[in-house]
Amino acid sequence: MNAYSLPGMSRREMLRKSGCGFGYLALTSLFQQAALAAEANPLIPKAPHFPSRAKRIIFLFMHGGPSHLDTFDPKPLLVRDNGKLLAKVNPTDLGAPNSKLMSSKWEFQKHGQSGLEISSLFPEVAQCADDLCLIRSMHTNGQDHGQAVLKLHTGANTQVRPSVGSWIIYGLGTENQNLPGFVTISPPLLNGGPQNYGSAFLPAVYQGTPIGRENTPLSQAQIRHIKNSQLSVEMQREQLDLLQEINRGHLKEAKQDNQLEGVIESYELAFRMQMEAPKLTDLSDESKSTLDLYGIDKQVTDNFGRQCLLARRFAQHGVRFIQVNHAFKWDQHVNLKKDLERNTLEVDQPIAALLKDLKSLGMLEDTLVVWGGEFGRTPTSQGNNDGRDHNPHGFTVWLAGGGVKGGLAYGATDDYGSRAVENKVHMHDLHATILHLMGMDHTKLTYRYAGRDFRLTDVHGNVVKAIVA
Amino acid sequence: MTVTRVKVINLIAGWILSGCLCIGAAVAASAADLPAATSDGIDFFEKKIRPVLIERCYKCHSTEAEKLKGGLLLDSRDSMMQGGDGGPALVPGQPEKSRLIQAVRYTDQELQMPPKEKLSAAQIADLETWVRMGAPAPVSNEAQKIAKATALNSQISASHWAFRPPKNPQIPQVKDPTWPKQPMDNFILAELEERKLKPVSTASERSLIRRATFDLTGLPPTPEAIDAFLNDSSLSAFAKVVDRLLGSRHFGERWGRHWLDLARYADSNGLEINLPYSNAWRYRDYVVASLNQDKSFDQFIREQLAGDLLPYSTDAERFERLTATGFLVLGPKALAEPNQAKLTMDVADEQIDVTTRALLGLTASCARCHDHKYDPIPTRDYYALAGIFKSTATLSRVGATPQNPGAPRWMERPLATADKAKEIEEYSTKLNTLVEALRVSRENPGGILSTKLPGIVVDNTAAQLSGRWKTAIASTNLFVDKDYVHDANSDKGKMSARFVPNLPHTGPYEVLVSYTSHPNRATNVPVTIQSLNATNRVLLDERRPPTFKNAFISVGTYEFQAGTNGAVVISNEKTKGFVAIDAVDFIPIDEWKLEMSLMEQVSMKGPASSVGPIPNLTELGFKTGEGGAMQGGVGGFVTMTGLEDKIYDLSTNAPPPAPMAMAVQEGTIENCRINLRGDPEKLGDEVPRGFLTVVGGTNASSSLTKQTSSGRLELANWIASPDNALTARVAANRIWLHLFGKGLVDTPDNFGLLSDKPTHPELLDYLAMLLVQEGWSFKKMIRTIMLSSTYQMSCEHDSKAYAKDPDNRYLWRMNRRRLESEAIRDAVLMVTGQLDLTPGGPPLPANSAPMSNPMMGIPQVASNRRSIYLPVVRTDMLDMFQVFDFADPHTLSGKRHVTTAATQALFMMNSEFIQEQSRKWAENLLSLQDDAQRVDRAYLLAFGRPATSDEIDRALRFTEKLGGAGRAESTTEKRRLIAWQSFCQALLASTDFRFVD
Repeated sequence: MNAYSLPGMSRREMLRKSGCGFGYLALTSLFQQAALAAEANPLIPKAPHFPSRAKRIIFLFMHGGPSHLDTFDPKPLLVRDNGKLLAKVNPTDLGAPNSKLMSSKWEFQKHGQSGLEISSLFPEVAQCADDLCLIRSMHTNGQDHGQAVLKLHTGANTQVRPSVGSWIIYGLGTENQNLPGFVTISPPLLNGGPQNYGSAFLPAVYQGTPIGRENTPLSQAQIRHIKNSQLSVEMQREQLDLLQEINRGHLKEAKQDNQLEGVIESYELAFRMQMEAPKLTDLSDESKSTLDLYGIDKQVTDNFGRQCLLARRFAQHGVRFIQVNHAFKWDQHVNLKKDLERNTLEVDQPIAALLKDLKSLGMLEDTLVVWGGEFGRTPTSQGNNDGRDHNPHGFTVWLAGGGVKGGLAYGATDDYGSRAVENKVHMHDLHATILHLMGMDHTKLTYRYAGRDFRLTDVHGNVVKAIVA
Repeated sequence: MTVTRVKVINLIAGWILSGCLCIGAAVAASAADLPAATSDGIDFFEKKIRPVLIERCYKCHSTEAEKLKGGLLLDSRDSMMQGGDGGPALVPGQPEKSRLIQAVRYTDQELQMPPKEKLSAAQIADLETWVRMGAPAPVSNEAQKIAKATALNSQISASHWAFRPPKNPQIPQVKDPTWPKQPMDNFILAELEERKLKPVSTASERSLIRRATFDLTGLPPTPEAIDAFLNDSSLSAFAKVVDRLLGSRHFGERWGRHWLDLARYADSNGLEINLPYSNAWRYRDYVVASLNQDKSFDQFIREQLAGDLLPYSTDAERFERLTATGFLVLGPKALAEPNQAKLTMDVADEQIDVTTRALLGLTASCARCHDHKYDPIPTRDYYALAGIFKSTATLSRVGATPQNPGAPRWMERPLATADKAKEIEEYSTKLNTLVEALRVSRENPGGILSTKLPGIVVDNTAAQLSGRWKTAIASTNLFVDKDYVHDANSDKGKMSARFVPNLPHTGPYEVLVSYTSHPNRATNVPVTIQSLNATNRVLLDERRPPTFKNAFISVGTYEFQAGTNGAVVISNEKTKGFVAIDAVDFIPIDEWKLEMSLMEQVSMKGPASSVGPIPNLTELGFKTGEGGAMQGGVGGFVTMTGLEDKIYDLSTNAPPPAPMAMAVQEGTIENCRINLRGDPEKLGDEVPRGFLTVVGGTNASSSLTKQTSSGRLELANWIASPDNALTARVAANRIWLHLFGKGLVDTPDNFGLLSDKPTHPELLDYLAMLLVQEGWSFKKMIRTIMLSSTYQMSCEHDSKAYAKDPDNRYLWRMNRRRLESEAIRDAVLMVTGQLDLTPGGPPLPANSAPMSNPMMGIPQVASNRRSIYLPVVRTDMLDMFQVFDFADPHTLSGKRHVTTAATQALFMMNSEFIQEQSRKWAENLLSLQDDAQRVDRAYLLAFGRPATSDEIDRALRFTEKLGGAGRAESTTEKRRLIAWQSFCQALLASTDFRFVD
């Protein structure tokens, strides 16, 4: 039955070497092989529209809307006018005129050579100030979490659209075929849930692969169906050999069929993925000092530390888009002081560790790290003077590495942090800029669907050139 | 051409009229006859206004502008009135309201035009004068533009293949007359011959029956069915198979699912509030039944768009048609959208999108913000359609109160006879009223809020209480806030309450005490008032009902110091009977006098104290504390919660609920105004309800002027008409697509200018006309196609043909097709003997999904039912559906993606589902006697053919090897089962199983 094995080479070996699958069965010009490969595997790496520094993205999503006023956007006037009615100090602000301004409870200090002002909630991240590019003039659409979260992830909030990660691997493919190209670690179930990593009208291969889910410890998380619960690896290989023989029998009869070849290749790919992915999600081969750096095994930072370290490992192994989700904990209508301190304690060390680690590995320059939430918060208080409301009109997102200028604070909100006023950056602009940093023109990354060409940025978006290094 | 002219004239008349109305509103009625275009006015425009516009404005605000700014065109009076992003620029007759004037005046910092340099004072004055005159301007500009656009539209309509009515084509001559079995084969063969291609051989009988069975039922053929077919040597053997399958109830499950892809069917709303659609399944069952009945497709359309408006002869028929309109309700809705106007327009937009794409192959919703970029669908046409859908009630509300419109939900209608429906409606009205009253009473049991009272109120909750006061809410009169206290007629002399107000200023105050009166109360309750200069004592008779606001009685006027220096102390010293205390109110004397004078005014019309603030209760004929609840009170303290008993009593006698279906009804009938750039806050012209002019919708829509109906029925009739150039073509192409894996037009949801050209335009016309001729019967059309030589070709490879036509566009062979996710799952279950064929019904066990809770994910239902009956939860899908390209249920999809990915392989290799099913199958096979027989049977079930001896040998070598491996501690039996299970799994995972040849 082994009619297709070549002498002196095991079939498995041959499979590994042929790279593009069973291309040797097809007509053999290189061009056709490439086309075949693209058809069999739409995720093979594709050239960007123009050269770029960033090869991959790690997006650190703080779900709930972190307060920019208490972290990355200092407002001296808010401190001065603490307790005054918003309507009194800033009558043109339509936010909540009868609410009182509430100053931040944390001190801001200048950090690094750049002197970026960051609050005492992020002491570790502050050490990386010279790598950070703060966009203090973000604004978006959606007063509710659901709308703003979808806007952030898909650029749309009333229709179902592909997520940023899907667009990126649609445009660029991915470097390691043995791993998914787009992973999302501990994704949220609320506020759009899977839609936030869904591919919508793009083919399903471009959807994000979830690793674990919100509120489940990462130590228990794994890619779906990555492990066979019954067969040993050797037994499964036997089974796969049988299966592939049946498949090749079918292909032989068909003489030529790209689809059948694609399926045959997909089994080999899956088998390799099975070998590689669990090794990757198993952190036991990391040194004690690395684990300590990320705060792993320290209760407060353990989970997010694992998430960030896993992100770094995915990045090292050629995954294109990696999202790290910090649970829906950033919605401080009440208990701002206590909860924001807890949140930042959970993420500060792991995030700083990720930045430092990437840097020491020489990867920060081609890895774009993005930190942010769906919106910011109001300068006025809620919840017994210990909470802030949603604010889509002005907030901060920061970028690091991957071709952005470090040590830069771009744009500004008004004196109280209510609204972005200077060099405003809409969510569409951020998306356009991220694509630009990845080497893609957001107006050219299109997909024909329902009679027209769709884009991540719809008809909007301007690249913020000023932050590009 | 006449049509064009009529349209232009209508348009001009339209805007002149609207201009006149504006003027009429602005100045005296006599000015209404001031024409927008007197020759003097036009002179003024030409001499003074146009030059300024050209010189200073058109660089950014004209159709000729290099880059249009702010979406504002100043080319014509109409476009000025329509305005740009900031709203209308011109309100004729009203310079103060015209943004154009505001802008040139430079008074508003945010709005200064032209941006670089202000116009001269004279120019500004001219513009003001011109606007005040009513902004006269020649019509030629705009009229020419419209005429040009209309002419272009009709030109496109006339030239684009899909917009031309289908023509009955000539059956082409072919060189090989033996191949065609029927006319459609001639079209295919002629095209092949033209390209020097030859059709490949006919498929084997085994392939044919497997193909036909999957195509018509989504299931593999049984070994018995295969045998029967192989043993039938008659010429009509295959026709018999086709007829049998068309008659099977599984036909509707397969083709119904195709339709559900278009209807973006789901059992939940999706988006950010993913509420379950617990009645969606009725629509799903309606679709399955309609296909099984072979309901004529035109009727199918009419029912789904306007079933609620169709005549009916039986209740069953009425229910069926109501259910059909679920088609319009099933879309995902942004229920959290705070802007209600936007939500309404979003819902209409979704309906327009699904209706036009599914039925007409047009992407009309592209024209929501601007004229369609490619197809001749102007924004006006979009809003003509939008008017129809906006006049249709699709949304309903829950939890509405007088203050709050309630949260948006979707419309569901009872499937009940008229009497029954009335009974249920009356019941639910009653119940809602009671529930609302209860809610109100719970929020404010006393009926008076301290915040609504004059003066400074100190409630019992703020009083310094000493002794064992008991809290109560039962009362015959009103009291303040959530409760009051009483002494339970005990501990006499040991209990007191001290009420300390924080008074704003020094001066005289009227002091009022609130209590709940009852015959069991004390008549001598001591009230001590510690005022500025004195301490006074008053005795209160609590049997007397209070007089002020049905809660208070005055104990006199006293002088107090500002701040917290005064107090009122009430005790139960030497009292006989219950002492109840609720609140003390300190009203500044001036305010009190005002109150009293108001009371007098009211009392002249009637007693002031009877004005009760719980209208719902009185309206319902309740008196607080009425009924059986009396017994529950302490010492005659009646409870307010008699309402709860009422609700309980009412609900125990509730009529059984009527089944509900997602369905629409006629709403407020009104035309829609153009939403400038799709923004429902920025309204342009009103557009009469109507259809799309691109496919001859102008004439038909003239009947949509009735104020009594939305026009949905007319729309349905227009779409379902044999004269509609698109409907039959789109439908015929969809049928073809499902039988060949590829349509004659490869963009089945878009037949517009960006569509894929048909590979066989004449064949498409032929099929479209045949469909209509055969009474819009899907089954007849499917049968015809399946009995053709074209359908019955094999998937054989032909290298010459492949070199010329690698994509098989011209059908020199049959396409090899990957099965859809449902077909794979159902086939797995069928092969393993686990498939549960129960038809229809709710996808979730009753009450498993309360309406109020958003669904976080797909419920874990262990079900082996056919895939079409599993719940479709938007935002989450069964793993198997996700990896095998199930249609995204948020939006319609006429053609599913077919991807190949490692996730599919992982699913087939490792998922619990496949492992479990393989084990069950292995157990079945192991009950057979002989190993070879087992392998053979497995091949027959999975692939529809027996195994070759090589295959049997290979399989047995595998099971032997694996049976010998495995963990040492497991038994031989277990290892054997695992070996056979692994073999079975390999068959299920194979390409032979996952594809149809």
